[in-house]
Amino acid sequence: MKNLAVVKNVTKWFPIRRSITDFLRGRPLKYVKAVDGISFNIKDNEILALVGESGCGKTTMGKLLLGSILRDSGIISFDGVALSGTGLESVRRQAQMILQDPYSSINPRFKVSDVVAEPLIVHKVAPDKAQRLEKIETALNEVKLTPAADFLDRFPHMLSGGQKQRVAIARALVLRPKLIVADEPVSMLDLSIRAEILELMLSLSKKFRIAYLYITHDLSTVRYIADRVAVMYLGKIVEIGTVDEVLQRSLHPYTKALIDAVPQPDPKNRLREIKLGVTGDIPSSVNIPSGCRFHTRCPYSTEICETVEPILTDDLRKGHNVACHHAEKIWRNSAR
Amino acid sequence: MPLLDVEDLQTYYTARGDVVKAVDGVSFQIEKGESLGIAGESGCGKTTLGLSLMKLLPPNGWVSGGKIRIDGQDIATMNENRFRKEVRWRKISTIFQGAMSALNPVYTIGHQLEEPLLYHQKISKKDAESKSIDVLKSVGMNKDVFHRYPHELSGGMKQRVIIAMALILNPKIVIADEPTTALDVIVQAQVINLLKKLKREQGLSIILITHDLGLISEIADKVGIMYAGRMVEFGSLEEVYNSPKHPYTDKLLKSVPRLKGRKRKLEFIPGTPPDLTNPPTGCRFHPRCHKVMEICSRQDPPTIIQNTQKTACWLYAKRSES
Repeated sequence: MKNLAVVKNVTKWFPIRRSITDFLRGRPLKYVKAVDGISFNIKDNEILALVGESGCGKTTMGKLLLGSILRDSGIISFDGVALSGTGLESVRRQAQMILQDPYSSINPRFKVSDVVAEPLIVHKVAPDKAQRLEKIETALNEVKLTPAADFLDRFPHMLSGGQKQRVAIARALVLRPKLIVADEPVSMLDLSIRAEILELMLSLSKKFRIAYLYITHDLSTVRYIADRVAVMYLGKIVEIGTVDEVLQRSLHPYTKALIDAVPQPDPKNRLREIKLGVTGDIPSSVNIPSGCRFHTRCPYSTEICETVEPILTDDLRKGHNVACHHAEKIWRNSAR
Repeated sequence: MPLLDVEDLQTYYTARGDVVKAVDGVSFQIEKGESLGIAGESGCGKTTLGLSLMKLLPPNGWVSGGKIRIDGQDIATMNENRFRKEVRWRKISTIFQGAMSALNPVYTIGHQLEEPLLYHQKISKKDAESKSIDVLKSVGMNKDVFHRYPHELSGGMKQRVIIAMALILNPKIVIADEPTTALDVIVQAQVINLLKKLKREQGLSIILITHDLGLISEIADKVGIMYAGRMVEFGSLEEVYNSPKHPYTDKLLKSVPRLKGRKRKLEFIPGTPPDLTNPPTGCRFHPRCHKVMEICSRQDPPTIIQNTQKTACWLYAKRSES
């Protein structure tokens, strides 16, 4: 299958405002290294999950891919077209976004029909009103807001959280995009409707051959929706591979820790502690630790980890790659 | 005598002239040292239940009926002055939601920790400081945090401070309403382990209010599942999780994505929770229930008791009659 999106060595650093005294003393500008050298591909109709703790740069990566913020360096190409200058407009038409909080991502003064019409107007698709209405109704039907006519004139406050997120999906869907970046699309929703929305996203992907970049902190939903998963830590990908490989045979100590930390509904849990290899909090992305950025929290850390930055392997095993000096040891241990 | 005995509790709000029956006839008991998990969708009344126990309802809310007994003493009818002096923070305290905003940014951690000690107990500033430092240590923090300000701490550390504040007067019950929502998974796991330790070592009863069924299984000995202001199922963690009887509990458990074990298709519950100003007649879950029967919409379901598991559902009543 061909690559829909290619991301190569992309970086994005945000400067922090200096105080006037720092400026006068000639102290250098500091940066938040949100995305610090990331490469991955998304194939046609593939669902790639991007997982990590808050502040790891996953949302920034999503925005970079959509061209809603511009990268500092590296290459992003979409459907064979580089993401810059004239390429941007076509990408923005073919790549859409679903955000976390449907309560704030939808204008409360817009009717449902206006919300879904907006992309059509912006991209000058279906200029004739009747055509537009038809497209809006189709999109609402596709996200199962039926009968669509009942929803057209409603305002967001008349909808439940799940319905609002469906409107947001319809808005992303109406232009028939090839890629949707979904940034925590279900984490604000109630448990009972989460599965419903995930299911909907999955069926839309199959029906319209849409690829997703599914950004989340929640590993357990990844298993139900994604084909592949990339784990991010402080602006870098530390492990990437198919969902089964990464979740069941994880090689990076950070991935292992993330998996162990998710509480599963099992009555036996109350009688035991959660086993956690890692300690402490995620360091600030302004002062990223030297060498392997995870070494300050890693149970496997040795001397080499403090000085030499591990690079992501190139096709270590069935497309499963990891950036860790001790991956081989961990692999051997888990194979036993 | 149970540590906490809630009997037919009703907590109502007024909103735009309507009465919202947020908690409508909830009863349960927990024994000393036992922890309880309360789960349900948003708007099911679980947070209101927690606020009722702390008597911290907003001005438009009130307890309109029922009893809340802590160590045999009814607090539902107790006046605010007496409750503040004798019960709140001493016998029952709370871990506030959203560690990021629950601390006052202009006071040191120490100042905020000492405050209840100086107010409630006639002790010297010095004793208050040493007691505060002891509590900080018990939640796994360094004593120099005492002199720090909230902005100098990470999210996980702030959450530990909030827990320390709740423990400062040695309460028997701590209500934790979504204590980890603002935290990342690894930090959340650290906080869970801390709560487990407090439960084990100090015999603390934690009332954990959350929509996360995984989190509940880490802490709770007993579980209550709420729907539209009612407790639809209550029992030990094992009973409720291993053999859920109420169709709502069953669906809720099956809608949890699992990271380990066999991958099953996720289920969901169609529709949305009802408007509590005008709840459905009979069983409130009947419009969304996949096992709905004719009687469900007409009459309130009876509560069926098996061992310690209580289920409010017509499914089991029918069986026992025939």
